[in-house]
Amino acid sequence: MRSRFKMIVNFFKNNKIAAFTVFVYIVVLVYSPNLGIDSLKITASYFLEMLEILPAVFIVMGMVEVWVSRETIMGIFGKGAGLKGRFASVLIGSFSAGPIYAAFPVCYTLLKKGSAVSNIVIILSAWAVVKAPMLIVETQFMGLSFMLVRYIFTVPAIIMIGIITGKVISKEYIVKNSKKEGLLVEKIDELLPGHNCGACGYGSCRETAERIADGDEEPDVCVSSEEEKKVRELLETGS
Amino acid sequence: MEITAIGLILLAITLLIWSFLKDKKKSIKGLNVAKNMFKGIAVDIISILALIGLFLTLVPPGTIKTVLGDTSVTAATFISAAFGTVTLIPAFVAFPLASSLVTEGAHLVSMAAFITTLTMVGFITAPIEIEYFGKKFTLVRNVLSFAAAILISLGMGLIL
Repeated sequence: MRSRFKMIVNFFKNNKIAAFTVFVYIVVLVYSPNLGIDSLKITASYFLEMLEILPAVFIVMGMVEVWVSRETIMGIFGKGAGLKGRFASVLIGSFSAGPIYAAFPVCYTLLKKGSAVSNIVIILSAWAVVKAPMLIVETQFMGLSFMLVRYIFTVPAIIMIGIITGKVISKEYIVKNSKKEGLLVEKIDELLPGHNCGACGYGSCRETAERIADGDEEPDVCVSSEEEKKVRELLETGS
Repeated sequence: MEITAIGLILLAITLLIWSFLKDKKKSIKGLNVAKNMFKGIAVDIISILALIGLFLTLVPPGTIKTVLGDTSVTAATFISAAFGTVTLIPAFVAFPLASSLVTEGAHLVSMAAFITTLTMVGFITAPIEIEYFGKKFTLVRNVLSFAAAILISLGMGLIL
């Protein structure tokens, strides 16, 4: 009983957003049960929408992760891709499905695989404002000229937003501050010997840990580590 | 279901079959990646969806009508942009709403601001964005998007 309580406490410690939401809902349900139930009904419809899209998005990204090489992604969305990369980013965002939160993990994967920060922002924005199904609904309700004019203004605008964000924010900042993969890198780093012997071909154990976390290197790349099995376990479970 | 959603599901199934035919071990690794991604975000997304549900119950999208009232175009543009910033509603709800507001006399410029901020600037999804990309990235992207939404709608006002 006590350990279950501890598990729940730990869960909410690791999921602050969930903790906040549950707290808000408890307050609402106590003061106005009807309001709470109506809210849950709306939530359920959003939840179904999410279930339609997210699993497919993640499967596609999982396949990209194992089949598409870092070089390919860098060639399409990397720093050197130039104008071609901008258009590829607008295009991939335009043919996406689902709300913007589905775009975050996709963009994060592309970033890790070598995409430039600016192009990530372009994909995110295109995903949000100019995706194809949205333009169709927009034409239906607001008329063709409204849709076209908004499109013509929006595409250059999101490319500018991407370029400016790319100038202000470095990739290193994102990798350091992301709570998604950062933890995994930390944990692998702890398991490596830490004396930066360089036998694996990288300058530091930290760098090796990043490569292993990205899936670019197998855990056995480190010849002086005795924790290969643990590292593999970490990669399997993801955290 | 939206046509792109169907397309996406078909794409995922095709890729998966192709992948398994080519290399089973690699495919399982890819599915593990997918599973971990899902595990990493599922709780956050469900929480955010619940907050959106609550928000939309408290402040139904139609409320924007009463807020807009007889304000000037500039004021209406900023109010609409602000309203779009804090809410997250699907496009198939937003466009009918915007269209009905236009027939009731709202200006096209303010509706463009509403739609652009609604989709591109995410106050309510910011916690998830921060988890992936950090605070500074989220702040910069959202502020720039808000500014762009205002500029886009003002530019549209000159043409339409």
